[in-house]
Amino acid sequence: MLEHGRLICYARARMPPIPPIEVVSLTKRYGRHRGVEDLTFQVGVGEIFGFLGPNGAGKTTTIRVLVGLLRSNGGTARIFGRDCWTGTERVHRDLAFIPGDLRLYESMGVLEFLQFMARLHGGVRPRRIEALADRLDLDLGRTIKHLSKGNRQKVGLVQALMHEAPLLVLDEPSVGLDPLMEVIFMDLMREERAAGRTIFLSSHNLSEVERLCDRVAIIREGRLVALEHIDALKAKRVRQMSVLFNQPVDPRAFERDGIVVLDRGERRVRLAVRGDINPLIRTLAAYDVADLTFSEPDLEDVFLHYYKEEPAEKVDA
Amino acid sequence: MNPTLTIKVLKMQAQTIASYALGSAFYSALVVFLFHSFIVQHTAFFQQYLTILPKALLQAFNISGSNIFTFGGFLGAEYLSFIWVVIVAAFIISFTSGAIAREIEQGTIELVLAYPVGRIRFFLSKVAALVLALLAIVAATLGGIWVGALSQHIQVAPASFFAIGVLATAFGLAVAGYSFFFSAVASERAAAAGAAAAVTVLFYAVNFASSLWSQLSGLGRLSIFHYYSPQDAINLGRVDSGSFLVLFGLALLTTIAGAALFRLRDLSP
Repeated sequence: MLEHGRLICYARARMPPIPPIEVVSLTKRYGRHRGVEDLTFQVGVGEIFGFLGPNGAGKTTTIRVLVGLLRSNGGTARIFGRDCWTGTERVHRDLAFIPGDLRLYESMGVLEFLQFMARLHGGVRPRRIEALADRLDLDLGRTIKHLSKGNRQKVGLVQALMHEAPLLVLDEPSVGLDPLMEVIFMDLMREERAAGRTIFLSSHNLSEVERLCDRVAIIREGRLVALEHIDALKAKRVRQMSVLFNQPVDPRAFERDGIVVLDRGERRVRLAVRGDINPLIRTLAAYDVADLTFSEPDLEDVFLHYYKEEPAEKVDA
Repeated sequence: MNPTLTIKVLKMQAQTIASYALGSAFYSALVVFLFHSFIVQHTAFFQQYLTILPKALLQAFNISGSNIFTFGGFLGAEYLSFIWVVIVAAFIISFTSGAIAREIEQGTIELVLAYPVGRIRFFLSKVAALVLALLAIVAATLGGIWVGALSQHIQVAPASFFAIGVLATAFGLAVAGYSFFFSAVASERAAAAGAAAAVTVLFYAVNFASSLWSQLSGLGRLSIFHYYSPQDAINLGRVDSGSFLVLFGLALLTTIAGAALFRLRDLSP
């Protein structure tokens, strides 16, 4: 019997961990209107996963399917291996959530509300609420209806973080927070990740996503158009390089695959570089370079690229 | 059922429940006092007064024959058959539409149902809160009758109290059943409340028409008001088991249907 138990433990240890979120060919339509179409992605344990898209792209629909508020028309959405629709109650034990449009019970006091939500989850560690409220400078003695937008968002953050759930699904969690609080919010997110928790973060705050997330998915018109590590995503974009030479050069020498000359002067050349930059560096090594500036594309460039262009082909996870 | 949710609902509705309960207690005591003043002391005058009232009006208040001159008949006609119904139906419709449809409309349901509560338990917690609130209002009404009767030295059998308590609760549950159904399927409070109010008015109109015109008498059975006769409950000291079963059965069926549809529907504001 003991041997059998050991075998099971051994087998479990050898099994790959169950992904906190696994979405396969997920489709959700509202009658004839599109919600999301054939969405596939997976979020790994301990990952901060950014979920981006313009308004109406299907982010909130996806999140509502994950949280069990909406039933999909096709495909599957699983949290820790359990179906988000049929196994909602069990799924919710492992999940903490902030809705995009956070609505609270207006007539309740902040502490009363948080204690109520804590009881719904089976309780939280002693002093956990107070500790989080201290971090976020949230007054627990106020009534919710008297709170500003930012303070309501803090209530939402405390209610999500107080449970120490292994998965956090956060839809626009930092909306309304002042810059100081945003820093604290990002510290809290990093601490959650350090504690082994997984975070699914939908946000329009691109610098926040850039600083926090390991990977991002971008959806547009209900379809996944990008799913990559942030660095890889940025590397795919066109970066601009400006080179000042000590002597006049022929710009045609730099024109090759992935490099376009944008602007040329007698000694200065401005280049657009896509992909691997090593061939360009090797070419430049043959010249006497006086100065070189190389701008790294930020996530906003990437983001806008995916939003401005015609619908990209579907990306498989 | 989730006790935390039920207690929260009751706490948030405590003032409203207390207002309805106290109001009903006060009004029922007042009607008992009026019975003694008008009927017992001025029977002849009252009989004459009734002859000049239109038949339809008497029918609307469930006044027939000499029934009005009994304690149960008077209490039924002056309060329990109509005014109590209006008050309690308004309370129930407001409560039930606020319990689910308003949470969907305002978006608060998104957060609560992301907790390990479960939709059926969420629904049943709200039903439990309504049942407790209804029992409080019915108990307060009975309390008012008891105090009024005691002050006017009117003997009311305990069986009559029990009967009217059971019948009034069953009637309230029937209204609550279909009101919860509409609240569970609607996404806006006004839609849920409007549908429940319309059905209640329709039930009343059907019963009224069937008692006024003999050609429509068969239709009366389709109305919950046909099975709600507080006069008989007080005067006879018992509730017709068939009436109770119809009211309770309707409550049960519509609650189950509401819970099932709530379990399956998409939830978004």
